[in-house]
Amino acid sequence: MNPKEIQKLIELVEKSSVNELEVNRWGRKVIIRKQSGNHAMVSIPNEQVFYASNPAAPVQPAAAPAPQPAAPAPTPAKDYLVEVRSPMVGTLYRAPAPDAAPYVKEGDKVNKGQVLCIIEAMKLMNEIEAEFPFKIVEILVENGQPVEYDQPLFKVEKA
Amino acid sequence: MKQFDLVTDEKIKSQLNTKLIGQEIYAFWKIGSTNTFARQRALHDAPEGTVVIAEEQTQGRGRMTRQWESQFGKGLWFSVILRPQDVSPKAGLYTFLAGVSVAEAVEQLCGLRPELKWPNDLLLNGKKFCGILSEADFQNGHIRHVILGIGINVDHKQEDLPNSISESATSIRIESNWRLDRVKLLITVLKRMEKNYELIQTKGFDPILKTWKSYCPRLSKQIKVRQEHTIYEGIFQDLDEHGCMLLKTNDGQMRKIVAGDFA
Repeated sequence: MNPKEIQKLIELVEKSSVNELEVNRWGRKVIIRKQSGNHAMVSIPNEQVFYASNPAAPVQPAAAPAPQPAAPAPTPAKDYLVEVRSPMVGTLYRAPAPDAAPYVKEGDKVNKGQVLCIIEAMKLMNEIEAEFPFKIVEILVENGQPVEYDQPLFKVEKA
Repeated sequence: MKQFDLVTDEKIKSQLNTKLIGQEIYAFWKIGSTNTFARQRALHDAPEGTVVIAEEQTQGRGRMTRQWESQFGKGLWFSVILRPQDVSPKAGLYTFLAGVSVAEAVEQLCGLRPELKWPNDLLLNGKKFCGILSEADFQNGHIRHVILGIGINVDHKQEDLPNSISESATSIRIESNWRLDRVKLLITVLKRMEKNYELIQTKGFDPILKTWKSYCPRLSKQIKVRQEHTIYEGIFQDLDEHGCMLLKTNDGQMRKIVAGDFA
C-alpha cells in the first residue's frame, strides 16, 4: 500500500465516527486508530498502526496494542525519531527523589537498560528503561505529571 | 520471657500449606531491602510465589526513597514475586491484593478491623502499621513480574518507634496489647494472598476491589488529597478500573487521582 492510499485512509477515519480501521493487503496489515493528542505511529512486524487525531471516544487501554518503543516510527518529517511510551496509567517522576538530579535530560545519550524515569501507580513503581541505545531528543512529560497508558514520554533518536 | 521468636524458612515451610506462594523462601537476618533482592531474583527467573523475608532491613524503602524503619525482630519485612499473565496497565491493581490480604489476616488473628487507606496503607485506630511498596517490570506490553513489598509493624512497643513517626505510626502490639506470633501472621497473609490471587485469575479484580472498599471507611466521605503541589478536596467517590481514586471535587468535577498522599 503506498503512502497516498494510507493518507486517504487516515483522512477517511479522521472524518468518520469509526475509531479503528484495519486493512489487509498483500500480507501487510495496516491499522488506523484514533488517539487523543499528537499524531503518532507505531509499526510492528507485518503490521502497521497509524494513529489519527481527535478520538470519537476514549481509547480503551486493553484494546490498544502492546507498546513497541523499539520499532521505527516512519513519520514523514522526522522519520528517525522514535517515541518511548508509557506502559501504564500513573504519575511520572524524572528523578528517584524530589531533590535528586533527573535520570536523564534532553541531549543525553543513554545505554540499553538505563533508567529514564519512574512511573508510579498505587505505590507500584515501574522504572522505565531504555530498550536500546539512543539519544534523547525531546522530553514530553514534566516531573510529577499524570500520564495515560501508551502516552508518548520521550522522543528519541536511535544510536 | 522470650525476646525473639525468629522467623526462619524452616518454621514457615513447616506450617505453610500453599501451592504457589512461599514455595521458595529466602529468609535473611539482615538485608538491604527485600524488594531489591526479590527484583534481582525475579530478573534471574525465580519462580512465581517466591518470598523474600528479613529480620532487619538496613535500607527499607518507602515512596520516593523515603525510609521505612524495619528494626530487627519487630515486624514482618517481606516481598513476594508474582508473575501474572496480564497486560502492563493492570500491574497497579495487584497492589490491592497485598493490602486486602494483610487486612484480612490481621482481622482474622487479632479481631481488630484495620482501615485501608488509598492506595494501600493499613491503619489501626488511625495510625499506620503496614506499608506496601511494589515494583514491576514489563516486557512487550505485558507484566514480567510484580514484586509486592510489605512491611508490617508487629511487635513494637511505643518506645521502639522513632520519635519522628511516633505520632503517625503504630504496631499490632501497641493497638491490641498482644504479642502476635509473626510466623503465624506471615503464614496467614500468604494463604490469604494465594486465595485472593486465585480469585483474581478466575473472577478478575472486581471481588478484590469490593473487599478493599469494605475496609475503607473514607469511601463516600469528604477527603483531602495532595498530588505533588496541589491539594484537592472532595468526596472519595469510587475506584476506577485501574484502581485510581475518583474524587468528586467540591466544584462538582470528577478528578482521577493516580498517586498522592492524603493531606
